[in-house]
Amino acid sequence: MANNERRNLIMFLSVLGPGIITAMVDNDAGGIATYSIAGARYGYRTLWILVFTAIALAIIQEMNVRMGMVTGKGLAALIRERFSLRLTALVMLALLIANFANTMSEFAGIAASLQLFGITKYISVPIIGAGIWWLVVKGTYKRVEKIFLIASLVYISYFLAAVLAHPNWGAVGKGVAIPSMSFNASFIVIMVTLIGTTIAPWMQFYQQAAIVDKGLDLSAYEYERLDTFVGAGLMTLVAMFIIIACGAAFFNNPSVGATTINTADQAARALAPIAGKNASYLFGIGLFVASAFAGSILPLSTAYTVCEAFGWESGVDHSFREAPRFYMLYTGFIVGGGLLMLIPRIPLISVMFISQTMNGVLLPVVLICMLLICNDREIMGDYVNKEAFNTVSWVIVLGVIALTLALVFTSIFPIGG
Amino acid sequence: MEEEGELVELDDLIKTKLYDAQGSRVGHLHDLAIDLEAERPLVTHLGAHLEWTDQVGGIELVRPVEDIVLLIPWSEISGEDDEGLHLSSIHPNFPAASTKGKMLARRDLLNKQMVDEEGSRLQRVDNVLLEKVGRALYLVGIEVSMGWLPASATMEKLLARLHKRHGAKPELNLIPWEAIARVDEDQVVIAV
Repeated sequence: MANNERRNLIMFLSVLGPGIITAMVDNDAGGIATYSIAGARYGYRTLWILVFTAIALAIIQEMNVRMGMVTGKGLAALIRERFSLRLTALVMLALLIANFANTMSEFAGIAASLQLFGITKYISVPIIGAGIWWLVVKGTYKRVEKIFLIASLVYISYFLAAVLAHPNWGAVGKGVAIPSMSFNASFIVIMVTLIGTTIAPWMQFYQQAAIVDKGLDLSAYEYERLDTFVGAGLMTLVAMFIIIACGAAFFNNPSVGATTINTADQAARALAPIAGKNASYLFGIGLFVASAFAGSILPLSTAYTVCEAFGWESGVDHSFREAPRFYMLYTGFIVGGGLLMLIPRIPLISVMFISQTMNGVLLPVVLICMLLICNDREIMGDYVNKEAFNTVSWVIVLGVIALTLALVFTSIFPIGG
Repeated sequence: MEEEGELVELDDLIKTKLYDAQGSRVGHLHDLAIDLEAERPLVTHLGAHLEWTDQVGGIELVRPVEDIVLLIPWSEISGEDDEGLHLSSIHPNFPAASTKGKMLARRDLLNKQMVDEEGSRLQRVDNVLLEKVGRALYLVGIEVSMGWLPASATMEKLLARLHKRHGAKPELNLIPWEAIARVDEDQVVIAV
């Protein structure tokens, strides 16, 4: 029995990675900003939404696990083979725009977080950008994955920041367990934004590609599914701690105007006089690692996905000569995203708007393609969605689509502050 | 001298409407089966996506099934017009063939990964080119790019070499069938 348990643990540790990394990268600069705003404006009242988001994320990402393991192909390849070149090309174009805008916002996160420690963006962005590039280009996937997994531990800083902000844990528990709604425009916008931030199209492409790249097959399905569920759970906990930290520090605090918190670095700065300098630094470190982490994964995921869609050679284990387009895409994203961030007065809000809109347009297409593939017996064999799971998946996917489109709509036509 | 026919792309044929001998619309063209043993690779069957049937290969089913794809002999086509292809049998009495051992243009070629003989990825198959001579359809090769999506430098070099060797028309980004070493389950292997 003990041997069995040990073997299971070893198996789990060996497949660990794709699910946790994907979920943790989701807590990027944009995500941290959204959670900070939610905490500052509504205290703990939005925590319950994250419970539902975690369930939706787990169900969606599980389908990627299954598709990757059954077919040995990434999502881009399956969309190309199941549907058409035209649809694939449009999806790739939207993904390129959305992910590039996202990469820029990650560099903004790197710049803002290191500015908290007095480092100017003209030094931080080029050095960190070069470091990220070197790590992936010069490393093997295994090493890169290990570094990313270790980097995930830095998210503990948000737990510490939340503790240092002295929250009312009873109220936190109530916020998680008892759904609370305000039927005003701004609460609905933040609710929709929380969900839209958490489920993004790049995640589906990245996790499936990572599973294929790792060579995982159905023998490891239970473990990889666990990896995915653990990832969704951890992601939710980190998001909750950010909301708790900001809720405890800023919500109903007359010395801080809650609506003055609009970005993650503003939240980090505002924490210092209330929860102490250490809380502020911890928040800043979390933002830095999250941004650097996502600033590396997003370009990597984009390069993998586009190469797979068009059939070009790809992968960090290939040389530049073997996979030129892969490296050109990866390098182009990092250099382009970093350089554009260095332009004085770059309109970051517009960049975020483009990213959010493209993600909103893309997500319905990707999720519907995924569901159709997961119901295609020619592709999935016996691993098609079971009837009950399928009903739940469709309800969740249609719900997420409706909320994402609402997010795009409210971005274009703001309905309240 | 070999008769020169009209070149058609598989993408343009897929979804062509199918009508039975009574003129009723029964479905659309889904795929093409190709005989590779013939002197020139020849389309021998069409994959007909029928809206429904209760009979497969002369056997009556327990209950009707919807959205079924049957391989019907190409010789079943009695005519074609702007509406689509007309079949010589009356729905649902179509002769059906097994897919066993047959290469299907859409299933096995279209959008599949192309690799060289060392296994390096080149590009995906963007289209399948066929030549129509009378009512017969021959497989010419596979197309690898569209105007707005240029081929990679490696592919351009490969195409130039293949054109030189096989004498294909240089204006087409075409890999002639003779240059294809084999078709595996999930990839098309190009002999460079």
